Order: sequence, then C-alpha cells, then structure tokens
Amino acid sequence: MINLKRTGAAVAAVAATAALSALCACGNGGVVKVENDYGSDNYVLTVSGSVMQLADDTTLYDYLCALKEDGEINFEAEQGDYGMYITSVEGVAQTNEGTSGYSWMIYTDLTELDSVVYSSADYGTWGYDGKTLNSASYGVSGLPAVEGYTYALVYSYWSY
Amino acid sequence: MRGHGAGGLSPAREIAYVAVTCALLIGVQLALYALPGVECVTALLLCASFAFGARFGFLTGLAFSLLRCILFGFYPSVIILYCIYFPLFGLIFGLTGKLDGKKLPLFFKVAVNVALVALGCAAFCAAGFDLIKVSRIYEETVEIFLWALGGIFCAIFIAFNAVCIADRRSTSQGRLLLLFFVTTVAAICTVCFTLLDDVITPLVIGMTAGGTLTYFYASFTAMLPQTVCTIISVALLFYPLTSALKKLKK
Repeated sequence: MINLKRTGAAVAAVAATAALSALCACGNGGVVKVENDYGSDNYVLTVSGSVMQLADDTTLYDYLCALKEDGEINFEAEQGDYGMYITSVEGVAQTNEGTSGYSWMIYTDLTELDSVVYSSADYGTWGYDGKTLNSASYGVSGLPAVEGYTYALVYSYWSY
Repeated sequence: MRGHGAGGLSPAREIAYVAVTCALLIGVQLALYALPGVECVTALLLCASFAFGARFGFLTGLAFSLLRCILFGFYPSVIILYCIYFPLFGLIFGLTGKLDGKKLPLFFKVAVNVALVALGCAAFCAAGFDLIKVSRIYEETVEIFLWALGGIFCAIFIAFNAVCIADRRSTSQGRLLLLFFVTTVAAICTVCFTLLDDVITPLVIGMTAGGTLTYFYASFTAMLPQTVCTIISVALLFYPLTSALKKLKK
C-alpha cells in the first residue's frame, strides 16, 4: 500500500514537472512545432521578455534572431521592398512557380494597437490552441514583438 | 523610300534601340534589386523616351513590363500595374520631349505649381496630423520622410518659380526650367505609381475596405524613398543621359 502511494506520488511529481516544463516552454517564448499538411511543421511562439529585452521598436525579426541565437529556431530571411521576409525555416524553403507556390506566412493575435492594424482576418486566419490568429499586415521586420502576443510562422500554399 | 519611326529613327534602328533600352532597364533593375527604394528605371526610361519620342517611350515601357514579368513572374496585379504605368510613363515623357528647345507653355507651369502645392500640403498634413497609421516600427521613419518630402516639394516650388521668373525674358526655354519640369513630373508619376498599385492590387486580390486601407498605409514605406530617389536620379542624370542618347539619333 505504501509502495502504491509512493509510486502514485512519483507519477504525480513527474506529470507535474512535465506540465510545468511545457508551460515554461510556452510562457518563456519557446517555439512550439505544429505539424502541417505538407509534411513539415509550422512554428508558434508567444513573445516573452525572458528571451530578450523588449522595447517599443523590437520587431518580430529581432525576436526571431534572439531565438535563433538560443538555438530555438533556425531560419533564413531576405530583404525585400517591404522589409525582411522569411525564406526558409528549419531548412524548409519557400517555392515560387510563378502563379503558385509555398511561402512562410505570419499569423498573429496582435490585431490592433494604438489605432494601427497589424493583422486582419480579411487576409486569412489560422487556428492554434483554441485561438484564431489573423494573417499579418506586415513582414517580420515591420511587426512589433509585443509581450504576451502569439505569432505563428505558417507554411502556406498560394496560387492566383 | 525609307520610312522613319520614332524620333526620326528608321524602323530597324527603332526596334534595335527599344530592345537595347529594354535590356538596360532590366539590367539596372536587377543591379539595384538588393537596395530597397533605390531604382534608376524611371530616370533611364524618362531620358530614352524624351530623346526618341512618344511611340518609342510607349513601346519600350510595354516591352520592359512584359519582359520583367517573364523574369520575375506573372502576377496578375503586377502585369496590370506595369502594363498600364510604364507605357503611359513613356508616352508622357515622349511627348514632353517635344518641349525641348521651346518655351514652356503657361499651362504646364500652372499645372506643375498646383501639383507641387497639393503634394507639399498633403505631405505636411499627413505628418502634422499623424494621418498615416503605420506600424510603430516605421512610424518615426515615415514621419521624417513626410516632413522631408513636404520640404522637398516646397523647395522645388520656390526654385521652379524663381527659374520661371528668371526665364521670362528669354526667347528660348531655359535648360534649368526644363530640368525642374521633368523632375517634378517624374516625382508626381512615382507617387501615382504607388497610388495606382494601391487601387489595382486590392481589386485583383479582392481585399476588403479595411485591408485596402492597411495596404495603402504600408505602401508609404516604399513610396517615400522611391520618390526621393526619383527626384535625385532624374535631376542628376537627365542632361547627361539625354545628351548621350540624342547623339545616337544622328
């Protein structure tokens, strides 16, 4: 009976530790992988001040670079007319066939801040963990990284 | 009898010049591709159209737009935008070439003044009343650009009218006045390019009113450096390039 109680307590402790670790992974700005329909993963993160010191002009790109330095995510980005844009994440690169292709789209629950629209459901939505994230109106270097908001890098098919 | 095409060129030379200008435009665009907001396509097409005439400008603009799509991809909004804007741009500056060596008509002087005042006021109002709602990452940059753009349009307005007054007693059109005129029209065209994109892209993609407004605000980050770049590149390259191109007509 004592052994059973001890085993139960050990299992509960392990479960609690695992749950706490999972919670920390999300709460501390860790990157969560979510399998997509194309045989790769999408990446979700919630911005936290524990990853880097956040300021008003901290962009999502700055935040991703900090995560990259911590070994949380590996990505490549290029400069375009409207700022930086993600070209590949964890080796999965964008493709362009002219009228169709795959791109890394950004979705976020940061919809409006100080009368500025940062994402809109008009461009599309993506669901994660009961939340509806809207397609971002800016690229990675135009989106501010705001504490507590969730951002997702979603590998998406597009065509005209 | 040998027929003559644009700007007094024979048809064979006209075709060859259109092809070479097109290749130069693509080359210039590719060379400066990595520098956002920096381009010399406007200055080059302007000078070539000015030197060789309206038909040459229209054909070069159209050929460049189609060739560009072959190289960079056929996106419906881009095809429509480029195939409307660049042939029209070539046509306008081809017709402007007819003013070379003549006195600038009063109508054009008034039109330039009205456009400069309107653009200057729009830039100052947008900056002063915080009308452009962009991401806070770009807010400061856009505000500085708007004040600077308003200041540039004011400076051009003052300088243009000063040159107009100085040129009044002259029988032939002054070179400086013509430079101010083409630079101003080129700057207005660059602003119109972005505004045209703000209409065409939302229509093609099917954006809602809210999405269109966000797209319009976001486009300011690209439009302002492009306009400043146009003013600088046209002002610096207009006379050297048109002089060199006119020698090819002989």
